[in-house]
Amino acid sequence: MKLNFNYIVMNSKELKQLINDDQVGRPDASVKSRLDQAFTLRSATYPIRQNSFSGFISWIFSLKAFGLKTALASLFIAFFLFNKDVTIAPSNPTTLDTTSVNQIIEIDSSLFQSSANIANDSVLL
Amino acid sequence: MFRKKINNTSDEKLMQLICSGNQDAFNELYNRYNERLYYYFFRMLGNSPELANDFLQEVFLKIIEKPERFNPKFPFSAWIFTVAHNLCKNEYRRLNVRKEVGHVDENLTGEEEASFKINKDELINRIYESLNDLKHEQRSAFLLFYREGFSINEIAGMLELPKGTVKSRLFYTRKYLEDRFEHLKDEIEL
Repeated sequence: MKLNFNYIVMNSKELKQLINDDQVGRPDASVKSRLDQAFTLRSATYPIRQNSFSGFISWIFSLKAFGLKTALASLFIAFFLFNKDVTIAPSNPTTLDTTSVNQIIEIDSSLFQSSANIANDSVLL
Repeated sequence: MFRKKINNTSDEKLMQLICSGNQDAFNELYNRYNERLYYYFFRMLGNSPELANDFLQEVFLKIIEKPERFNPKFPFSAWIFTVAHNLCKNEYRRLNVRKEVGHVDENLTGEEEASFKINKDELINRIYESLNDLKHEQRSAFLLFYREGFSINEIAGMLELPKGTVKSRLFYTRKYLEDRFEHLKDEIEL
């Protein structure tokens, strides 16, 4: 295609097309690797880190969704008030405590071994 | 799945993710802008690949070091090119680049040039070589408008100039090119 130079320069569309077709190559790959290294070093100091619970914790202690949080807390308390099976009163233990089981320890003669038996036990020889 | 999500994320949202240390977001942003910024620096700084690479790195280091400086209410593309423009401005202040960069071969007379047809690549090179004689703001406005497709309003904001000034600078740049190659009346092979 042949065009007059002045037509190209003074025609905005033609000039835009000409400039957009221009290629000057790509940036050096070492630039990206240096930036990656810089990012890794810098990301260690970011206030908010990836896979962090800080966002959730700050939400819990903020005034955001205050009504929802109050309702959830009320439900939690109501559950313990109306559920009689769950109690924390020490006078009425709901769990088995092995220290409070009174088991009579009897002497079991089968556990006894005389010195003669020990001596005759070939397994021990 | 996450990769697909990142691909569809806006530049502004990616910047927010970078603030929380997301490297995928940074990689995506780099992929979107590295060639555009490289071209801008290459043409602004005397067609030097070394300077273009150095300045490209500088821009992205600014993103890494101070991502919170970006205001997500404004378009990221305008912001990043404003940063790029300011870096070039500082470089021009520091060094008198205009004296160092190449110019159109002055040995060729108008008649000699008119006697042969030039191709597209040569034409572009000659345009940029001629633009080196202009102020960096004019060159920057030219690149941002014709290459990056920013509006006059956006360029005015980026260069901190009134809209009318940007318009007139673009017009005078075209007029300058027309006068500069007035002798090149012959047709150009495109």
